Amino acid sequence: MKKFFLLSLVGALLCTTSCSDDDNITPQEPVSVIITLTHPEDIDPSSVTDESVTFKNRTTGEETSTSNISEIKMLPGLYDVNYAASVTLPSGAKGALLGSKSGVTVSGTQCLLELSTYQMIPTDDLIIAEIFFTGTQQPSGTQYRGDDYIKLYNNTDHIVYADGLTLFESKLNTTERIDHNPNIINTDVSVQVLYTVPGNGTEHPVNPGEYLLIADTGIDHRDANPNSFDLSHADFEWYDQSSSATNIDIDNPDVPNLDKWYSYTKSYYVLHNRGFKAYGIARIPIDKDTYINDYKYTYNYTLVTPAGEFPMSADAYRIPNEWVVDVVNCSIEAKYAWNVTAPELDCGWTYCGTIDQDKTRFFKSVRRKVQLIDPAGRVILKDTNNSTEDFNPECVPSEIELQGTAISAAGDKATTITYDGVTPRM
Amino acid sequence: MSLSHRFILFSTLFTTLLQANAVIKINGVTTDASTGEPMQYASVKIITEGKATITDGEGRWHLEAASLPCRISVTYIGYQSVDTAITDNRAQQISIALKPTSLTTGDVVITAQEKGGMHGEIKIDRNAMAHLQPTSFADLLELLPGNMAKDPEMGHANSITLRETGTVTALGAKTELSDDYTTGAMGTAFIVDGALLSTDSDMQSITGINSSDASAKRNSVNKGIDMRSISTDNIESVEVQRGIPSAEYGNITSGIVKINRRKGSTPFTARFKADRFSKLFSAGKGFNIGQSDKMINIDAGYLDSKIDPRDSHENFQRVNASIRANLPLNCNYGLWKWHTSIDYNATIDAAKADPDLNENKIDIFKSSKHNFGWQGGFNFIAGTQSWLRTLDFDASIRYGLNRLERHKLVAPARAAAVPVTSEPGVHDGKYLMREYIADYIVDGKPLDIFMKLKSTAYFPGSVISHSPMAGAEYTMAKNLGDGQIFELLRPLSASWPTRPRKYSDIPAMQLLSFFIQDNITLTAGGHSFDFQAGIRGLMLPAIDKKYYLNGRLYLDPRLNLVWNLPVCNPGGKELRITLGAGYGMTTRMPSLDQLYPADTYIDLIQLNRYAPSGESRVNIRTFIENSCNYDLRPARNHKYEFRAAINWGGNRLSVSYFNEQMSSAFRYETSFAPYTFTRYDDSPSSLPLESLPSRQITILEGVSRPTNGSNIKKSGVEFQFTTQRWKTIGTSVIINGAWLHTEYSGSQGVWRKVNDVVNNIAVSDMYVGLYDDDNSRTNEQFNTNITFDTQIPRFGLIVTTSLQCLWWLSTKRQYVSGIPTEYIDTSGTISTFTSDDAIHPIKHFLIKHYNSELFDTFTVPLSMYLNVKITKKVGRWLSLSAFVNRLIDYQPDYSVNSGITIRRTSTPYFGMEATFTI
Repeated sequence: MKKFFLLSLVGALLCTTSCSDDDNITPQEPVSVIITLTHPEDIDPSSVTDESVTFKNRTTGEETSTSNISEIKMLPGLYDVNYAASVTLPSGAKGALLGSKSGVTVSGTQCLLELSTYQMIPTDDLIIAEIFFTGTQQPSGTQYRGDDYIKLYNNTDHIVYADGLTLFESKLNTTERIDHNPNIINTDVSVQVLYTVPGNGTEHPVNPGEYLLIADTGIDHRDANPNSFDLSHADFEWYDQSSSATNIDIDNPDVPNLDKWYSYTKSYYVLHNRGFKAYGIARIPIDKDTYINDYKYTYNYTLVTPAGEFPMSADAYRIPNEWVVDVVNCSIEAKYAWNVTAPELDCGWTYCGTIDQDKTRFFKSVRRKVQLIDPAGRVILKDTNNSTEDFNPECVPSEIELQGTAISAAGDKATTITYDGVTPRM
Repeated sequence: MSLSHRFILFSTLFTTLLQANAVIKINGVTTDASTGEPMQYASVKIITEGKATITDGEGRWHLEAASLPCRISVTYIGYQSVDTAITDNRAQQISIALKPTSLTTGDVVITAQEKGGMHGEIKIDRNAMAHLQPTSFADLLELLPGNMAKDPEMGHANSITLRETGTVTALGAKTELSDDYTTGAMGTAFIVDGALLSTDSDMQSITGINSSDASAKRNSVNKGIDMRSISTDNIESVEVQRGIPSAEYGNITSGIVKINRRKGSTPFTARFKADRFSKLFSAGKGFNIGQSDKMINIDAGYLDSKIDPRDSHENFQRVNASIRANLPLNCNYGLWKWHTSIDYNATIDAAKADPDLNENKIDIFKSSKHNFGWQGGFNFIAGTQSWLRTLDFDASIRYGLNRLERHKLVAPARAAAVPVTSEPGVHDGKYLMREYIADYIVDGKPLDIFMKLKSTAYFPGSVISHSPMAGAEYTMAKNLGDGQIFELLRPLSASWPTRPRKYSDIPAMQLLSFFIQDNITLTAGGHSFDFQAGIRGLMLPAIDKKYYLNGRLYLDPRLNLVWNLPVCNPGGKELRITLGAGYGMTTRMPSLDQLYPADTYIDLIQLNRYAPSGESRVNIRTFIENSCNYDLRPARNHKYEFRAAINWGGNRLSVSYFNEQMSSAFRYETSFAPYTFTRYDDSPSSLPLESLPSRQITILEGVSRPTNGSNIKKSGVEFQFTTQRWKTIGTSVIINGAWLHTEYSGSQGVWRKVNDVVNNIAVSDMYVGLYDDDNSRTNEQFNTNITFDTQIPRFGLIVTTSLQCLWWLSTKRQYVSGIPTEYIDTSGTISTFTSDDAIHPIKHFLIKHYNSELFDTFTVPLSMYLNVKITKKVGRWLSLSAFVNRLIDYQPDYSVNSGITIRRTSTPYFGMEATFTI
């Protein structure tokens, strides 16, 4: 591939990110892609090394990587672009610079692409290690809801207290791109569910290399579904108290409940079992009442369908990006449209199942990859704020592995035990 | 004598007997041109003077004219009218022979005809139906102005909509009538051979079922007649009255569908139809008993229909059979005609989930309705000398064996709690943990009784003639079924809101009506006026005192005027102009379901202690709320309309403007009230209930009750234009169409819960707001159907090409602010929602946000379809028909606000049939 070079420095502003159309060009001619990078202000461009950029063709799935980012020629098409580089900070610490843009159309004679980069600093807090959103199936094949869970992990070298950590679910779906107004995606995450770990700040320590299991319902689910598993040892559960017999949740008195700040539904809350949402954790530095009063977010958008358009309005809450500790975008290949959080929070996505209503997704979770296991035996999980890179999709859930319970509606039992769904545990 | 000659049109009974001076007597006899037999009850009229009479048993008639020459017209249904000039009265007897339309090849009427009567009547006869090739009665509606050809939809109840657009979605798609706006369908009476088909006792629905369930789509409760159930094969003619009906008809809002079934000697006819969705077979025969004029008709039919031809799991079947007898009896005073019939009609809806495709392996729905009917009555037609003209009595009893069965695998998500008793108060419920099979049965045995007595008289005058009418009607609706049957521990879903209920405990509903009306005919200077003024009263005599309706009589005034202008002859062709106007009220009483809805059960969880190792306990306090709305009123519709009809040399144009306002249509609405219960703390899980820490909690819960909360406003213009047949090409053109403007809105605010849960408290437990109605839309459409009707008698060929255009269809959602006007709190107090409440930490959640573009008008532009129908006679016995709907379509792309282009497609629908007539 012939390559072409141009690198614009900080301050070069271009208004468009898509590329100009020129119908006179035959579509199969390679197109020059000129990348304009905007680095964070405190980064000295000369300290940036080991640059690389990856183009993933949405249609073919083909990936093209190059370290010569100044001279890029790509065939026309729709691409997801990821940029990575090393940076030496003024403090002398080494970090990573990342940037990404999804849904870039390469066409015409020249494609101008503006990329904002951000600095990646390893999270000094709990991170999401696993999300089991698909649930299990009854022996008849019917979906069972209630055994979904999220596992957090202390990836640091010191004790982290879970107190005050807020679990959230995104309002927007990764499968449906909407132009919402006002658009806050670069500054905030719009959320529809907020549950917070109770405590005074030092009540719920998580040691380095330890997990924190947060379950929907902390009971032994085998009593309701023989194909499910035991969650009565969960550290927390989210319990939705209701007076109505029509949608009751089950409260295990032995498993502490998360503090329910806000939920969009009066029924019991379950994780989106096709995985169309982003899940995350945040540390909200203000008190609950202030947050509930001040962080409401209402937006308008137009839902466009093949049959026409629906003007819509929706209510949500918002969490400023600075408060977000970790976020994981989930989607499915057949319907993925965008990431519902800013790229600096997550520039990839992970999945269980590839098509909508995929029946193979049940009994599977997404699990964060092992980066390395240090000599002391402590597992270090991969955290580059790119869920595509950081997660193993469609894994046997860790709880099912540990308990050796069913991995299919037919009742076949799990036999392997792994660190991350892939790496076998010795 | 052919039996159909006995058919009588009372409305044409006009005579003017008294003449001041110089009377010229004209005598005549009327015969059937095909058989030469005399024709009784043909209507004879001196057009120039407006005098009229009917023929006697020997076909004889006599009239007295003021001057000569004059013009006389002789009309008889099913025959071509004869218009003749009389220049002198020296002939002893004027002979007039009428040709039956079925034999007058080249002039078969294959569309609906505007009759130009005073009630907005439109008539569809057998020839039109044969050419249309309908599967059920629903297909006939294509012929009414404002309607277009539609594929049969056998997967849901087919309700009738007269002069309204029906429910339109935000994107301009027409769907089934919204449950909030079915009163128009419920208020359209179907009258078969003089007896009402009542739907008031139909309760075949599952209370509280999800609207996407197979049973909900096929639910016809409070939606009037399900037209799928009516076969068209034994119908001789259908008359749809859309205007101001005669006072004779009541308990309606929108209109009347009068079905006259075949009677008299008819050849053995067998029909086979096949199309994409269904197969239909029917056969019928009518004969005289010996040589007498007693007639018996027998027919039967079977329809097997699939909702999707590729899916054998969902289908609809219909079986119908009927035997009818008509027994005329002459006596000294006039003619008695007895008629009686026994009918059987069954529909079977079935749907089951494909076990290979569906996650819920077992999901079966079956609903069968077997209806048995007897009807009988007599008509007495007095001799011409008596002031009493007719006396009619009709009665019918219909009894149904209806059974709706639901058999389903239910998998509770985690554990679900269910109550175990139907009693109010505190009790322990049960947890449902594992999958189970639910069986739900709705057993209905509707019993409907109908009786009607009517008499007409005639008082002639020199200028003004009176033709008064009076009568009374009684109907009773009762359901003897075992009702909704299921096990409390095996409900249809884990969140089940109702309890078993026996329908036979519900009282019978009785409706008593009377009517009185005068028809005044006035002739002056070539003008003639028909003025009809009537009043109908209706009441529910046996209803409990608790109801507002108890002891109340509702009166419906009905006024109609027709003005026939003098006939003139511009361009050498006769021009007749008729103008008309009408005003009336129509009142529809609630149905059995609306008067006696099922009780609402409010089950509140007091203790939810799930402890598989210890003692699990779910404690429930149950409140039973009567869902009856004792203040329920009838739905009343105010109608007025103007009409004009012009007939010039056989080219006919009729136009009518109508306006209907009904602000008290029925719908179910939820109202809220506080309920107090004890919530026990479940943490110390081994203690008995009494020693658990607890607190009293008050929350808001809702009860859904029938109300008069819907507003249906209909206005529009309907027109039909029919040209004379151009002899050279054997073609006539029929253009009909309508501009319809329909507003569906709520006449009261609606209480709506919000779903937000803040700080572990559901907002709707504390506050519920009263909002503008959120199911309100104004729809408008304009359509025309241009039909080219080509008939080539030599080849026995009829070809119609219909160009059906929906010029536009627009829909606009009524503005809703999203800010409640009032709210209720847990003390039961209703307060105004103020600007302070809008910033209250909890109450501000009551504000709903709407995108302002939501209230813009959405317009679907032109769509045009070409439909072709062909009927060909093959040999003596066989007639073949075929149709293709949407053979060609033109639906231009259009773009919407966001810039996307909407591309529309359609697929043709075709079928064919063979009819043997032996």
